[in-house]
Amino acid sequence: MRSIFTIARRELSTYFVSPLAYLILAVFLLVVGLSFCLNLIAFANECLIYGSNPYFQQQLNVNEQVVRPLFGGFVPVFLLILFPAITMRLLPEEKRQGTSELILTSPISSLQIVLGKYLGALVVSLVMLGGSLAFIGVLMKISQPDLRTVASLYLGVFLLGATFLAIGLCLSAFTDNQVLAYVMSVGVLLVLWFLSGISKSNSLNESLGDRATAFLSNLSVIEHFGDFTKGLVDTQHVAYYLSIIVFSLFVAQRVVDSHRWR
Amino acid sequence: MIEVQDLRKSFGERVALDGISFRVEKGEILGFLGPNGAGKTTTMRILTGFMPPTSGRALVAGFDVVLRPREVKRRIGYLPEHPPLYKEMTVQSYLAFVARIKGVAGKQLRSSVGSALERCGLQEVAGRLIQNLSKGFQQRVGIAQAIVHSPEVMVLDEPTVGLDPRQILKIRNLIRSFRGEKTVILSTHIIPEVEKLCDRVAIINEGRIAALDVRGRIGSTLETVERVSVQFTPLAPPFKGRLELLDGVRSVVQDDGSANRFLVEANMGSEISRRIFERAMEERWPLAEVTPLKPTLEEVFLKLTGEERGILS
Repeated sequence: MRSIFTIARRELSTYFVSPLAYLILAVFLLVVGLSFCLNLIAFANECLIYGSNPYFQQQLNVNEQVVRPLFGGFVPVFLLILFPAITMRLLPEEKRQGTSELILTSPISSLQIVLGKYLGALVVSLVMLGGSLAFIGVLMKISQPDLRTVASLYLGVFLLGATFLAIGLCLSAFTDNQVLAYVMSVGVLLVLWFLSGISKSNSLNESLGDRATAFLSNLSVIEHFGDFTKGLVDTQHVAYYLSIIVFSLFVAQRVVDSHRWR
Repeated sequence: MIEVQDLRKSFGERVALDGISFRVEKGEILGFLGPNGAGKTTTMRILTGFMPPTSGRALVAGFDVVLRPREVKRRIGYLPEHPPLYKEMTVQSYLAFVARIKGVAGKQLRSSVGSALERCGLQEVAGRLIQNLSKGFQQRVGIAQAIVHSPEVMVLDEPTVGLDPRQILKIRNLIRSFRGEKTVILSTHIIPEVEKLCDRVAIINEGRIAALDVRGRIGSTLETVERVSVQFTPLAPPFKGRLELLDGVRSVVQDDGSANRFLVEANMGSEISRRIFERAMEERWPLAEVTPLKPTLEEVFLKLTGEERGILS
Protein backbone atom coordinates (compact mmCIF):
# COMPACT_ATOMS: atom_id res chain seq x y z
CA MET A 1 0.00 0.00 0.00
CA ARG A 2 2.80 2.39 0.87
CA SER A 3 4.45 1.75 -2.48
CA ILE A 4 1.21 2.69 -4.24
CA PHE A 5 1.17 6.02 -2.45
CA THR A 6 4.86 6.57 -3.18
CA ILE A 7 4.24 6.08 -6.91
CA ALA A 8 1.09 8.22 -6.82
CA ARG A 9 2.88 11.01 -5.00
CA ARG A 10 5.66 11.07 -7.55
CA GLU A 11 3.15 11.15 -10.40
CA LEU A 12 1.36 14.06 -8.78
CA SER A 13 4.52 16.04 -8.26
CA THR A 14 5.37 15.47 -11.93
CA TYR A 15 1.92 16.65 -13.03
CA PHE A 16 2.19 19.84 -11.06
CA VAL A 17 5.71 20.79 -12.01
CA SER A 18 4.83 20.53 -15.68
CA PRO A 19 2.51 23.02 -17.38
CA LEU A 20 0.34 20.16 -18.63
CA ALA A 21 -1.69 19.75 -15.44
CA TYR A 22 -2.34 23.48 -15.13
CA LEU A 23 -3.27 23.69 -18.78
CA ILE A 24 -5.74 20.81 -18.46
CA LEU A 25 -7.16 22.32 -15.29
CA ALA A 26 -7.54 25.73 -16.93
CA VAL A 27 -9.23 24.38 -20.07
CA PHE A 28 -11.52 22.21 -17.98
CA LEU A 29 -12.63 25.11 -15.77
CA LEU A 30 -13.06 27.33 -18.81
CA VAL A 31 -15.37 24.89 -20.55
CA VAL A 32 -17.39 23.94 -17.47
CA GLY A 33 -17.54 27.60 -16.51
CA LEU A 34 -18.85 28.45 -19.96
CA SER A 35 -21.52 25.77 -19.65
CA PHE A 36 -22.42 27.11 -16.20
CA CYS A 37 -22.62 30.72 -17.37
CA LEU A 38 -24.78 29.98 -20.41
CA ASN A 39 -27.23 27.90 -18.38
CA LEU A 40 -27.34 30.41 -15.56
CA ILE A 41 -27.98 33.35 -17.90
CA ALA A 42 -30.71 31.44 -19.71
CA PHE A 43 -32.28 30.50 -16.39
CA ALA A 44 -32.08 34.08 -15.12
CA ASN A 45 -33.73 35.37 -18.27
CA GLU A 46 -36.55 32.88 -17.96
CA CYS A 47 -37.01 33.89 -14.36
CA LEU A 48 -37.27 37.52 -15.42
CA ILE A 49 -39.78 36.81 -18.14
CA TYR A 50 -41.94 34.16 -16.50
CA GLY A 51 -41.24 34.72 -12.80
CA SER A 52 -44.41 36.75 -12.29
CA ASN A 53 -46.59 34.10 -13.87
CA PRO A 54 -47.62 31.63 -11.14
CA TYR A 55 -48.16 28.82 -13.66
CA PHE A 56 -44.71 29.06 -15.19
CA GLN A 57 -43.08 29.75 -11.85
CA GLN A 58 -43.62 26.14 -10.85
CA GLN A 59 -41.77 25.02 -13.93
CA LEU A 60 -38.70 27.04 -13.09
CA ASN A 61 -36.24 24.85 -11.25
CA VAL A 62 -32.59 25.67 -10.63
CA ASN A 63 -31.68 21.99 -10.31
CA GLU A 64 -33.26 21.15 -13.62
CA GLN A 65 -31.95 24.08 -15.54
CA VAL A 66 -28.53 24.91 -14.08
CA VAL A 67 -27.20 22.02 -11.98
CA ARG A 68 -28.18 19.19 -14.31
CA PRO A 69 -26.82 20.65 -17.52
CA LEU A 70 -23.55 21.67 -15.86
CA PHE A 71 -22.00 18.44 -17.14
CA GLY A 72 -24.59 17.90 -19.85
CA GLY A 73 -24.68 18.59 -23.56
CA PHE A 74 -21.24 18.82 -25.09
CA VAL A 75 -19.36 18.66 -21.74
CA PRO A 76 -19.01 14.85 -21.50
CA VAL A 77 -17.62 14.75 -25.05
CA PHE A 78 -15.18 17.41 -24.05
CA LEU A 79 -14.12 15.35 -21.00
CA LEU A 80 -13.60 12.43 -23.33
CA ILE A 81 -11.11 14.48 -25.31
CA LEU A 82 -9.44 16.03 -22.27
CA PHE A 83 -8.97 13.11 -19.91
CA PRO A 84 -6.74 10.98 -22.14
CA ALA A 85 -4.28 13.89 -22.02
CA ILE A 86 -3.88 13.14 -18.30
CA THR A 87 -3.14 9.46 -18.80
CA MET A 88 -1.20 9.50 -22.08
CA ARG A 89 2.19 10.02 -20.44
CA LEU A 90 1.77 7.68 -17.46
CA LEU A 91 3.39 4.53 -18.83
CA PRO A 92 5.01 5.69 -22.13
CA GLU A 93 7.10 8.25 -20.25
CA GLU A 94 8.65 5.55 -18.06
CA LYS A 95 9.72 3.57 -21.08
CA ARG A 96 11.05 6.59 -22.93
CA GLN A 97 13.10 7.85 -19.98
CA GLY A 98 14.38 4.37 -19.19
CA THR A 99 12.98 4.67 -15.69
CA SER A 100 10.98 1.51 -16.28
CA GLU A 101 14.24 -0.30 -15.58
CA LEU A 102 14.29 1.29 -12.14
CA ILE A 103 10.61 0.62 -11.42
CA LEU A 104 10.66 -2.95 -12.66
CA THR A 105 13.83 -3.84 -10.71
CA SER A 106 12.38 -2.46 -7.48
CA PRO A 107 10.71 -4.73 -4.95
CA ILE A 108 7.19 -3.68 -5.96
CA SER A 109 4.59 -5.53 -8.01
CA SER A 110 3.25 -4.43 -11.37
CA LEU A 111 -0.17 -4.09 -9.75
CA GLN A 112 1.26 -1.57 -7.30
CA ILE A 113 2.80 0.35 -10.20
CA VAL A 114 -0.49 0.47 -12.12
CA LEU A 115 -2.57 1.37 -9.05
CA GLY A 116 -0.10 4.07 -8.02
CA LYS A 117 -0.23 5.67 -11.44
CA TYR A 118 -4.00 5.39 -11.57
CA LEU A 119 -4.32 6.97 -8.14
CA GLY A 120 -2.12 9.88 -9.23
CA ALA A 121 -4.30 10.52 -12.29
CA LEU A 122 -7.43 10.17 -10.17
CA VAL A 123 -6.23 12.85 -7.78
CA VAL A 124 -5.64 15.20 -10.72
CA SER A 125 -9.22 14.63 -11.86
CA LEU A 126 -10.42 15.26 -8.29
CA VAL A 127 -8.58 18.58 -8.27
CA MET A 128 -10.35 19.47 -11.51
CA LEU A 129 -13.79 18.53 -10.16
CA GLY A 130 -12.98 20.29 -6.90
CA GLY A 131 -12.18 23.45 -8.84
CA SER A 132 -15.53 23.34 -10.58
CA LEU A 133 -17.31 23.24 -7.21
CA ALA A 134 -16.70 26.98 -7.17
CA PHE A 135 -19.58 27.30 -9.65
CA ILE A 136 -21.89 25.46 -7.26
CA GLY A 137 -20.65 27.83 -4.56
CA VAL A 138 -21.72 30.80 -6.69
CA LEU A 139 -25.08 29.17 -7.27
CA MET A 140 -25.61 28.66 -3.55
CA LYS A 141 -25.09 32.38 -3.00
CA ILE A 142 -27.95 33.30 -5.29
CA SER A 143 -30.23 30.27 -5.11
CA GLN A 144 -30.88 27.03 -3.27
CA PRO A 145 -29.75 24.11 -5.40
CA ASP A 146 -30.55 20.66 -4.06
CA LEU A 147 -27.27 19.44 -2.61
CA ARG A 148 -28.23 15.80 -3.02
CA THR A 149 -28.61 16.35 -6.74
CA VAL A 150 -25.22 18.08 -6.76
CA ALA A 151 -23.65 15.14 -4.90
CA SER A 152 -25.16 12.61 -7.27
CA LEU A 153 -24.06 14.65 -10.28
CA TYR A 154 -20.50 14.85 -9.01
CA LEU A 155 -20.43 11.14 -8.18
CA GLY A 156 -21.51 10.51 -11.76
CA VAL A 157 -18.88 12.80 -13.27
CA PHE A 158 -16.24 11.33 -11.00
CA LEU A 159 -17.11 7.79 -12.08
CA LEU A 160 -17.23 8.82 -15.73
CA GLY A 161 -13.84 10.50 -15.44
CA ALA A 162 -12.39 7.57 -13.48
CA THR A 163 -13.52 5.27 -16.29
CA PHE A 164 -11.90 7.48 -18.93
CA LEU A 165 -8.68 7.50 -16.91
CA ALA A 166 -8.66 3.73 -16.44
CA ILE A 167 -9.18 3.12 -20.15
CA GLY A 168 -6.53 5.73 -20.99
CA LEU A 169 -4.03 4.19 -18.58
CA CYS A 170 -4.74 0.73 -19.96
CA LEU A 171 -4.09 1.81 -23.55
CA SER A 172 -0.99 3.76 -22.59
CA ALA A 173 0.50 0.48 -21.39
CA PHE A 174 0.59 -0.80 -24.95
CA THR A 175 2.90 1.83 -26.42
CA ASP A 176 5.92 3.96 -25.61
CA ASN A 177 4.59 6.83 -27.69
CA GLN A 178 2.46 9.45 -25.94
CA VAL A 179 0.69 10.67 -29.07
CA LEU A 180 -0.24 7.13 -29.98
CA ALA A 181 -1.52 6.53 -26.45
CA TYR A 182 -3.66 9.66 -26.65
CA VAL A 183 -5.15 8.92 -30.07
CA MET A 184 -5.88 5.30 -29.16
CA SER A 185 -7.61 6.37 -25.95
CA VAL A 186 -9.79 8.97 -27.63
CA GLY A 187 -10.63 6.48 -30.38
CA VAL A 188 -11.67 3.71 -28.01
CA LEU A 189 -13.66 6.11 -25.83
CA LEU A 190 -15.46 7.49 -28.87
CA VAL A 191 -16.44 4.00 -29.96
CA LEU A 192 -17.72 3.25 -26.45
CA TRP A 193 -19.61 6.51 -26.67
CA PHE A 194 -21.32 5.94 -29.98
CA LEU A 195 -22.58 2.55 -28.93
CA SER A 196 -25.49 4.47 -27.48
CA GLY A 197 -26.27 5.89 -30.90
CA ILE A 198 -26.50 2.39 -32.33
CA SER A 199 -29.53 1.49 -30.26
CA LYS A 200 -31.28 4.58 -31.51
CA SER A 201 -30.74 3.84 -35.15
CA ASN A 202 -33.76 2.01 -36.53
CA SER A 203 -32.10 0.19 -39.39
CA LEU A 204 -29.51 -1.35 -37.08
CA ASN A 205 -32.20 -2.21 -34.62
CA GLU A 206 -33.94 -4.25 -37.28
CA SER A 207 -30.91 -6.09 -38.50
CA LEU A 208 -29.36 -6.86 -35.13
CA GLY A 209 -32.46 -7.46 -33.07
CA ASP A 210 -33.57 -5.88 -29.83
CA ARG A 211 -31.33 -7.87 -27.55
CA ALA A 212 -28.13 -7.11 -29.37
CA THR A 213 -28.80 -3.39 -29.56
CA ALA A 214 -29.83 -3.29 -25.91
CA PHE A 215 -26.59 -5.06 -25.05
CA LEU A 216 -24.55 -2.62 -27.12
CA SER A 217 -26.22 0.46 -25.74
CA ASN A 218 -25.69 -0.86 -22.22
CA LEU A 219 -21.99 -0.95 -22.97
CA SER A 220 -21.99 2.74 -23.82
CA VAL A 221 -20.29 4.98 -21.30
CA ILE A 222 -22.82 7.79 -21.71
CA GLU A 223 -25.98 5.69 -21.31
CA HIS A 224 -25.08 5.15 -17.67
CA PHE A 225 -24.34 8.78 -16.95
CA GLY A 226 -27.81 10.33 -17.43
CA ASP A 227 -29.40 9.07 -14.22
CA PHE A 228 -26.68 10.60 -12.05
CA THR A 229 -27.50 14.08 -13.40
CA LYS A 230 -31.13 13.56 -12.38
CA GLY A 231 -30.08 12.90 -8.81
CA LEU A 232 -30.48 9.14 -9.13
CA VAL A 233 -27.70 6.90 -7.88
CA ASP A 234 -28.43 3.49 -9.36
CA THR A 235 -26.12 0.64 -8.34
CA GLN A 236 -26.46 -0.73 -11.86
CA HIS A 237 -24.61 2.28 -13.24
CA VAL A 238 -22.05 2.35 -10.44
CA ALA A 239 -21.40 -1.32 -11.07
CA TYR A 240 -20.96 -0.64 -14.80
CA TYR A 241 -18.31 2.01 -14.25
CA LEU A 242 -16.52 0.05 -11.55
CA SER A 243 -16.37 -3.06 -13.69
CA ILE A 244 -14.89 -1.16 -16.64
CA ILE A 245 -12.31 0.40 -14.29
CA VAL A 246 -11.36 -2.94 -12.73
CA PHE A 247 -11.14 -4.62 -16.13
CA SER A 248 -8.97 -1.85 -17.60
CA LEU A 249 -6.60 -1.83 -14.65
CA PHE A 250 -6.38 -5.60 -14.80
CA VAL A 251 -5.40 -5.50 -18.47
CA ALA A 252 -2.90 -2.69 -17.76
CA GLN A 253 -1.32 -4.78 -15.01
CA ARG A 254 -1.02 -7.78 -17.31
CA VAL A 255 0.59 -5.69 -20.03
CA VAL A 256 3.09 -4.10 -17.62
CA ASP A 257 3.86 -7.53 -16.26
CA SER A 258 4.35 -8.95 -19.74
CA HIS A 259 7.34 -6.65 -20.25
CA ARG A 260 9.14 -8.74 -17.67
CA TRP A 261 8.42 -11.92 -19.53
CA ARG A 262 9.25 -10.98 -23.05
CA MET B 1 26.93 -13.96 -3.03
CA ILE B 2 26.02 -14.37 -6.69
CA GLU B 3 25.76 -17.72 -8.37
CA VAL B 4 24.82 -18.19 -11.98
CA GLN B 5 24.35 -21.61 -13.52
CA ASP B 6 24.04 -22.24 -17.22
CA LEU B 7 22.02 -19.13 -17.94
CA ARG B 8 20.41 -18.96 -21.37
CA LYS B 9 18.27 -16.31 -22.96
CA SER B 10 16.88 -16.04 -26.44
CA PHE B 11 14.81 -13.28 -27.99
CA GLY B 12 12.86 -15.18 -30.59
CA GLU B 13 15.43 -16.66 -32.94
CA ARG B 14 18.32 -14.64 -31.62
CA VAL B 15 20.34 -16.26 -28.85
CA ALA B 16 21.62 -13.58 -26.49
CA LEU B 17 23.03 -15.82 -23.77
CA ASP B 18 24.28 -19.27 -24.55
CA GLY B 19 24.94 -20.93 -21.20
CA ILE B 20 26.72 -18.59 -18.82
CA SER B 21 27.94 -19.78 -15.42
CA PHE B 22 29.98 -17.93 -12.82
CA ARG B 23 30.20 -17.12 -9.12
CA VAL B 24 31.00 -13.90 -7.34
CA GLU B 25 32.11 -13.97 -3.73
CA LYS B 26 31.10 -11.40 -1.15
CA GLY B 27 33.02 -8.14 -1.35
CA GLU B 28 34.47 -8.91 -4.76
CA ILE B 29 34.40 -6.73 -7.85
CA LEU B 30 33.81 -8.71 -11.03
CA GLY B 31 34.25 -7.03 -14.39
CA PHE B 32 32.35 -8.04 -17.52
CA LEU B 33 34.40 -7.29 -20.56
CA GLY B 34 33.05 -7.80 -24.01
CA PRO B 35 32.16 -6.18 -27.29
CA ASN B 36 28.80 -4.52 -27.75
CA GLY B 37 25.99 -7.02 -28.00
CA ALA B 38 27.98 -9.78 -26.30
CA GLY B 39 25.34 -10.36 -23.62
CA LYS B 40 26.64 -8.23 -20.74
CA THR B 41 23.48 -6.16 -20.38
CA THR B 42 21.22 -9.18 -20.77
CA THR B 43 23.06 -10.99 -17.98
CA MET B 44 22.68 -7.97 -15.74
CA ARG B 45 19.01 -7.56 -16.55
CA ILE B 46 18.39 -11.16 -15.59
CA LEU B 47 20.31 -10.78 -12.32
CA THR B 48 18.31 -7.68 -11.38
CA GLY B 49 14.98 -9.32 -12.18
CA PHE B 50 14.20 -7.03 -15.10
CA MET B 51 13.72 -10.02 -17.36
CA PRO B 52 13.67 -13.76 -16.73
CA PRO B 53 16.12 -16.20 -18.30
CA THR B 54 14.91 -18.68 -20.88
CA SER B 55 16.58 -21.40 -18.84
CA GLY B 56 19.21 -21.76 -16.17
CA ARG B 57 19.40 -20.46 -12.64
CA ALA B 58 20.67 -17.31 -11.00
CA LEU B 59 20.95 -16.88 -7.23
CA VAL B 60 21.62 -13.58 -5.49
CA ALA B 61 22.34 -13.78 -1.76
CA GLY B 62 20.87 -17.29 -1.87
CA PHE B 63 17.56 -16.23 -3.46
CA ASP B 64 16.52 -17.36 -6.92
CA VAL B 65 15.86 -14.36 -9.17
CA VAL B 66 12.84 -16.01 -10.77
CA LEU B 67 11.26 -17.58 -7.71
CA ARG B 68 11.98 -14.90 -5.09
CA PRO B 69 12.33 -11.71 -7.12
CA ARG B 70 11.38 -9.36 -4.28
CA GLU B 71 14.05 -10.68 -1.94
CA VAL B 72 16.59 -10.30 -4.74
CA LYS B 73 15.48 -6.82 -5.75
CA ARG B 74 15.64 -5.61 -2.18
CA ARG B 75 19.31 -6.58 -2.07
CA ILE B 76 20.43 -5.28 -5.46
CA GLY B 77 21.31 -1.78 -6.57
CA TYR B 78 21.22 -1.46 -10.34
CA LEU B 79 22.58 1.23 -12.61
CA PRO B 80 21.33 0.54 -16.14
CA GLU B 81 23.28 1.72 -19.15
CA HIS B 82 21.12 4.85 -19.30
CA PRO B 83 20.67 6.11 -15.75
CA PRO B 84 16.94 5.88 -14.94
CA LEU B 85 16.35 9.47 -13.88
CA TYR B 86 13.15 11.44 -13.50
CA LYS B 87 14.67 14.62 -14.83
CA GLU B 88 11.95 16.93 -13.59
CA MET B 89 12.72 16.03 -9.96
CA THR B 90 15.39 17.42 -7.69
CA VAL B 91 18.27 15.13 -6.79
CA GLN B 92 17.12 14.90 -3.20
CA SER B 93 13.47 14.14 -3.89
CA TYR B 94 14.45 11.64 -6.59
CA LEU B 95 16.68 9.73 -4.18
CA ALA B 96 13.99 9.80 -1.51
CA PHE B 97 11.54 8.37 -4.04
CA VAL B 98 13.93 5.57 -5.02
CA ALA B 99 14.64 4.77 -1.36
CA ARG B 100 10.90 4.50 -0.68
CA ILE B 101 10.11 2.15 -3.53
CA LYS B 102 13.11 0.04 -2.53
CA GLY B 103 11.53 -0.36 0.88
CA VAL B 104 13.46 2.11 3.04
CA ALA B 105 10.99 3.62 5.48
CA GLY B 106 10.53 6.21 8.18
CA LYS B 107 13.53 7.43 10.07
CA GLN B 108 16.05 5.59 7.94
CA LEU B 109 14.92 7.44 4.84
CA ARG B 110 16.64 10.69 5.68
CA SER B 111 19.92 9.11 6.64
CA SER B 112 19.90 6.83 3.60
CA VAL B 113 19.43 9.74 1.23
CA GLY B 114 21.97 11.79 3.15
CA SER B 115 24.67 9.16 3.02
CA ALA B 116 24.06 8.42 -0.68
CA LEU B 117 24.40 12.13 -1.43
CA GLU B 118 27.58 12.36 0.58
CA ARG B 119 29.15 9.24 -0.83
CA CYS B 120 28.59 10.31 -4.42
CA GLY B 121 29.60 13.91 -3.75
CA LEU B 122 26.19 15.31 -4.57
CA GLN B 123 25.50 17.50 -1.54
CA GLU B 124 25.99 20.76 -3.37
CA VAL B 125 23.51 19.83 -6.11
CA ALA B 126 20.96 18.10 -3.84
CA GLY B 127 18.32 20.77 -4.41
CA ARG B 128 18.78 21.15 -8.15
CA LEU B 129 16.67 19.63 -10.89
CA ILE B 130 18.32 16.61 -12.44
CA GLN B 131 17.71 17.90 -15.98
CA ASN B 132 19.97 20.88 -15.25
CA LEU B 133 22.94 18.78 -14.16
CA SER B 134 25.92 17.84 -16.31
CA LYS B 135 26.25 14.32 -17.67
CA GLY B 136 28.85 13.51 -15.02
CA PHE B 137 26.61 14.56 -12.20
CA GLN B 138 23.67 12.73 -13.72
CA GLN B 139 25.76 9.58 -13.85
CA ARG B 140 26.64 10.06 -10.20
CA VAL B 141 22.96 10.48 -9.36
CA GLY B 142 22.51 7.17 -11.17
CA ILE B 143 25.06 5.52 -8.90
CA ALA B 144 23.59 7.20 -5.82
CA GLN B 145 20.24 5.74 -6.86
CA ALA B 146 21.84 2.28 -6.89
CA ILE B 147 23.28 2.55 -3.37
CA VAL B 148 20.58 4.55 -1.60
CA HIS B 149 18.97 1.50 0.00
CA SER B 150 22.37 0.07 1.08
CA PRO B 151 22.20 -3.03 -1.12
CA GLU B 152 24.61 -5.91 -0.63
CA VAL B 153 25.04 -6.32 -4.37
CA MET B 154 25.58 -3.67 -7.00
CA VAL B 155 25.18 -4.18 -10.72
CA LEU B 156 26.62 -1.35 -12.79
CA ASP B 157 26.17 -1.36 -16.55
CA GLU B 158 28.94 0.72 -18.14
CA PRO B 159 29.18 3.18 -15.27
CA THR B 160 31.72 5.48 -16.92
CA VAL B 161 30.38 5.65 -20.45
CA GLY B 162 30.25 9.12 -21.95
CA LEU B 163 32.16 10.89 -19.19
CA ASP B 164 35.27 13.05 -19.40
CA PRO B 165 38.56 11.69 -17.96
CA ARG B 166 38.28 13.57 -14.70
CA GLN B 167 34.74 12.37 -14.11
CA ILE B 168 35.77 8.83 -14.99
CA LEU B 169 38.47 9.02 -12.33
CA LYS B 170 35.96 10.12 -9.70
CA ILE B 171 33.47 7.42 -10.56
CA ARG B 172 36.22 4.79 -10.48
CA ASN B 173 37.34 5.93 -7.05
CA LEU B 174 33.76 5.71 -5.91
CA ILE B 175 33.40 2.16 -7.20
CA ARG B 176 36.76 1.20 -5.71
CA SER B 177 35.49 2.37 -2.31
CA PHE B 178 32.89 -0.40 -2.43
CA ARG B 179 35.54 -3.13 -2.49
CA GLY B 180 35.22 -5.52 0.43
CA GLU B 181 31.97 -3.94 1.48
CA LYS B 182 29.64 -4.65 -1.40
CA THR B 183 29.64 -7.26 -4.11
CA VAL B 184 29.93 -5.49 -7.43
CA ILE B 185 29.43 -6.59 -11.02
CA LEU B 186 30.32 -3.97 -13.57
CA SER B 187 30.39 -4.14 -17.32
CA THR B 188 32.54 -2.16 -19.66
CA HIS B 189 34.31 -2.34 -22.95
CA ILE B 190 37.16 -0.18 -21.71
CA ILE B 191 40.07 -2.47 -20.92
CA PRO B 192 42.04 -0.21 -18.52
CA GLU B 193 38.91 0.17 -16.46
CA VAL B 194 38.83 -3.54 -15.75
CA GLU B 195 42.55 -3.57 -14.98
CA LYS B 196 42.19 -0.75 -12.51
CA LEU B 197 38.98 -1.74 -10.76
CA CYS B 198 38.24 -5.40 -10.83
CA ASP B 199 39.40 -8.34 -8.75
CA ARG B 200 38.32 -10.78 -11.40
CA VAL B 201 37.47 -10.47 -15.06
CA ALA B 202 35.00 -12.35 -17.21
CA ILE B 203 35.39 -11.90 -20.93
CA ILE B 204 32.01 -12.38 -22.54
CA ASN B 205 31.58 -12.95 -26.21
CA GLU B 206 28.68 -14.17 -28.33
CA GLY B 207 26.65 -14.97 -25.24
CA ARG B 208 29.32 -17.14 -23.63
CA ILE B 209 32.04 -16.61 -21.08
CA ALA B 210 35.23 -16.88 -23.10
CA ALA B 211 37.53 -16.55 -20.08
CA LEU B 212 37.10 -15.96 -16.38
CA ASP B 213 39.97 -15.48 -13.98
CA VAL B 214 41.75 -13.25 -11.55
CA ARG B 215 42.76 -10.03 -13.27
CA GLY B 216 46.49 -10.68 -13.71
CA ARG B 217 46.17 -14.33 -14.57
CA ILE B 218 43.49 -14.17 -17.20
CA GLY B 219 44.70 -15.49 -20.49
CA SER B 220 47.63 -17.46 -19.09
CA THR B 221 45.64 -20.64 -19.54
CA LEU B 222 45.01 -19.75 -23.13
CA GLU B 223 48.67 -19.50 -24.07
CA THR B 224 50.17 -22.31 -26.10
CA VAL B 225 53.74 -20.99 -25.96
CA GLU B 226 55.98 -19.45 -23.30
CA ARG B 227 57.41 -16.15 -24.36
CA VAL B 228 60.52 -14.55 -22.95
CA SER B 229 62.38 -11.40 -23.83
CA VAL B 230 66.18 -11.74 -23.45
CA GLN B 231 68.48 -8.71 -23.34
CA PHE B 232 72.25 -9.00 -23.61
CA THR B 233 74.75 -6.31 -22.68
CA PRO B 234 75.82 -4.02 -25.51
CA LEU B 235 78.72 -5.18 -27.67
CA ALA B 236 77.97 -8.84 -26.88
CA PRO B 237 78.55 -11.28 -29.72
CA PRO B 238 75.42 -12.52 -31.52
CA PHE B 239 73.72 -15.13 -29.32
CA LYS B 240 70.79 -15.88 -31.55
CA GLY B 241 72.16 -19.23 -32.60
CA ARG B 242 72.85 -20.34 -29.06
CA LEU B 243 69.36 -19.48 -27.89
CA GLU B 244 67.95 -21.49 -30.72
CA LEU B 245 69.83 -24.57 -29.52
CA LEU B 246 68.05 -24.64 -26.16
CA ASP B 247 65.51 -27.45 -25.62
CA GLY B 248 61.95 -26.61 -26.54
CA VAL B 249 62.67 -23.34 -28.27
CA ARG B 250 60.47 -22.78 -31.28
CA SER B 251 61.71 -19.51 -32.58
CA VAL B 252 64.06 -16.67 -31.76
CA VAL B 253 63.42 -13.27 -33.26
CA GLN B 254 65.59 -10.22 -32.98
CA ASP B 255 63.63 -7.39 -31.39
CA ASP B 256 63.03 -4.38 -33.60
CA GLY B 257 64.46 -1.82 -31.24
CA SER B 258 67.85 -3.14 -30.30
CA ALA B 259 70.40 -5.52 -31.73
CA ASN B 260 70.87 -7.27 -28.40
CA ARG B 261 67.28 -8.06 -27.52
CA PHE B 262 65.64 -11.28 -28.62
CA LEU B 263 62.09 -12.56 -28.30
CA VAL B 264 62.10 -16.28 -27.58
CA GLU B 265 59.07 -18.50 -28.00
CA ALA B 266 59.23 -21.94 -26.46
CA ASN B 267 56.91 -24.87 -25.90
CA MET B 268 54.49 -24.64 -23.00
CA GLY B 269 55.98 -26.16 -19.84
CA SER B 270 59.58 -26.00 -21.03
CA GLU B 271 60.40 -23.49 -18.27
CA ILE B 272 62.40 -21.51 -20.74
CA SER B 273 63.41 -18.70 -18.39
CA ARG B 274 65.08 -21.12 -16.00
CA ARG B 275 66.92 -22.84 -18.84
CA ILE B 276 68.25 -19.57 -20.15
CA PHE B 277 69.55 -18.65 -16.71
CA GLU B 278 71.25 -22.01 -16.17
CA ARG B 279 72.94 -21.91 -19.57
CA ALA B 280 74.00 -18.32 -18.99
CA MET B 281 75.64 -19.31 -15.69
CA GLU B 282 77.48 -22.23 -17.26
CA GLU B 283 78.72 -20.35 -20.28
CA ARG B 284 79.10 -16.91 -18.68
CA TRP B 285 76.82 -15.09 -21.10
CA PRO B 286 76.84 -11.28 -20.79
CA LEU B 287 73.17 -11.31 -19.83
CA ALA B 288 71.44 -8.04 -18.85
CA GLU B 289 67.78 -9.03 -18.48
CA VAL B 290 65.36 -11.93 -18.89
CA THR B 291 61.67 -11.04 -18.82
CA PRO B 292 58.84 -13.56 -19.09
CA LEU B 293 56.16 -11.98 -21.28
CA LYS B 294 52.57 -12.32 -20.19
CA PRO B 295 49.82 -11.49 -22.60
CA THR B 296 48.13 -8.19 -21.79
CA LEU B 297 44.42 -8.14 -21.13
CA GLU B 298 44.04 -6.33 -24.38
CA GLU B 299 45.74 -9.09 -26.33
CA VAL B 300 43.65 -11.71 -24.59
CA PHE B 301 40.50 -9.77 -25.26
CA LEU B 302 41.24 -9.24 -28.92
CA LYS B 303 42.30 -12.83 -29.35
CA LEU B 304 39.19 -14.24 -27.69
CA THR B 305 36.63 -11.98 -29.24
CA GLY B 306 38.33 -11.79 -32.62
CA GLU B 307 38.75 -15.50 -33.17
CA GLU B 308 35.18 -16.31 -32.28
CA ARG B 309 33.97 -13.88 -34.84
CA GLY B 310 36.36 -15.27 -37.40
CA ILE B 311 34.87 -18.72 -37.02
CA LEU B 312 31.35 -17.49 -37.45
CA SER B 313 31.84 -15.33 -40.47
